[in-house]
Amino acid sequence: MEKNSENLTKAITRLPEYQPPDLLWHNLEEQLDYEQNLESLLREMPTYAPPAAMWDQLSLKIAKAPELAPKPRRTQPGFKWIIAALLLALAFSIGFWKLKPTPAVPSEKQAPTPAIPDLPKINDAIAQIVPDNRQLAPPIKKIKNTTYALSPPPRITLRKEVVDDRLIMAGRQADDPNYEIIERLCLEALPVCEEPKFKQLKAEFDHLSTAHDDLKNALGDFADDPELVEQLVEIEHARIQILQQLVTMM
Amino acid sequence: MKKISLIVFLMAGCGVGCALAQTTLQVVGKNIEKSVPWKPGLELIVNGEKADITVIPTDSAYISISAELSAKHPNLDTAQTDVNTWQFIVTTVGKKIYLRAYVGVLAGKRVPASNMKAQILIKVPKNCPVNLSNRFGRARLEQLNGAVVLSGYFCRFDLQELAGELHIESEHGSVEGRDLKGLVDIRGKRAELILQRTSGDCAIQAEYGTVHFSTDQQTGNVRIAGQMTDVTLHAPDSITHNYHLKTHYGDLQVPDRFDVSGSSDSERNATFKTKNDRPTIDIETSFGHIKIKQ
Repeated sequence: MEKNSENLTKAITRLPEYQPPDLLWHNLEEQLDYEQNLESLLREMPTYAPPAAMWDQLSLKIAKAPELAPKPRRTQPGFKWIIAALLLALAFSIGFWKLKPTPAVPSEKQAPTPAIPDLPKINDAIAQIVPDNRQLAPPIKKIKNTTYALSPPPRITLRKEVVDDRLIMAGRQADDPNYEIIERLCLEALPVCEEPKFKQLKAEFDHLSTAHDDLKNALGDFADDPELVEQLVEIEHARIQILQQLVTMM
Repeated sequence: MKKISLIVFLMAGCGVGCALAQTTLQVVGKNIEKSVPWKPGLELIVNGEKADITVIPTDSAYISISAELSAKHPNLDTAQTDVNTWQFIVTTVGKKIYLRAYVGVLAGKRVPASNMKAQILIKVPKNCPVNLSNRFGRARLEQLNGAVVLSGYFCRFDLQELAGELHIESEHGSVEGRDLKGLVDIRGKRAELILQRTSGDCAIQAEYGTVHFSTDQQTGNVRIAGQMTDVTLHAPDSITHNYHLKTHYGDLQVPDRFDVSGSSDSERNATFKTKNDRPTIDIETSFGHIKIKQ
């Protein structure tokens, strides 16, 4: 335990406190606001492109006063030949080293064949396969338990399709807000909501609602499949009929 | 002259209006071709999404696959970006050959804004068993002898001249089958089922759908169980089968030669007996109608 710790603590509490002047925080805030405003103003500041004629004038001036034109860098004539000779020597030595025959070692094992690349994983891009130009059946590569034949790489095609806006609008129809009536009323624990027939109809309504949402998501923003849009409409009719039955029971 | 001008003006306006009622989509497609060797004992399993799949026979010993994976959007750049989200996997594991086409989005990336569609043509040896599941699309299979198992959600199935065993589960997708020679087992929910010229035995379970079944001398035993399902039998010659028909809380329309005794308000029965060695058509529905058309 420190000596006279109590005295020290008392003395610390009696130390005077200093408050910053009131304007200090105000000034700091102003400065921060200024910097922020300045940044946004700088972003909005327009940029000006010099008129095209200016570049023509500059090139005319340079033509009239060649001493103003930038001087090309000149290397010493000897350096070129030295550099060329060095590069030639380097290329010659690399080539000699690569092509020199290696002495055979009878006891040395043969290098293993290169590993066959792994199959593409589920999230990888579609595998690129080496093209095979032969007309006969393509050869087979064995990869562990998997066998697949070589096939040409994927081709990209571009074309245009025209879709009737009526199909698109049918796929974008918003849900009728009346569908939530049943949910709201059953939250009040009406006795009819516990009846078996009501529950059965409600379950079928919920099933149709799920199917409706699934189909709407599958159609996307630009529904171009008339059959699926027709099914969407049929589901909607079925939902309306069931809703009417449910409301009648309530 | 004024009238003619007015007519021409109105026609021009209609033309412009019609032109404005269409949207042009840029379609970017990726065409892929693959080939896989097949031998007896191997089964093809196809898993598709937003795909139109056609499976037809080939005399080759290879399963050949050609696919166009496309993305459609008014903006070409968006379509080009989205087409690369297609994942197309063909792999063999043991005795199963897997083919999978789906839209795969990496974590943190946006979901494709384009309409995605896959058109897949598969040529298989006739005896190759096929197990196919698809969502939001179509599937057409024809002239196959191997067993076929189909599963669909908003997928329409068109089947023709299938000789092997056939098992189908379809929800919100119609099934149309012609000249099916093997055993047929169908479970449909909110699906329209249409069968013509079936040769083997058929078992159908249907909910909230419709069944149109055409029988003839080649048709085997037929059993249909339905809930909230209307069943229509097209029977040009009813002497070829024995009939047991029953509907709870539904209507029954049968030819006069049928025995309808034993019916009540809530349950209607109809039977017809010919010879004991003839196949039987057994139909029972709840809250659905049974009709025989000749």
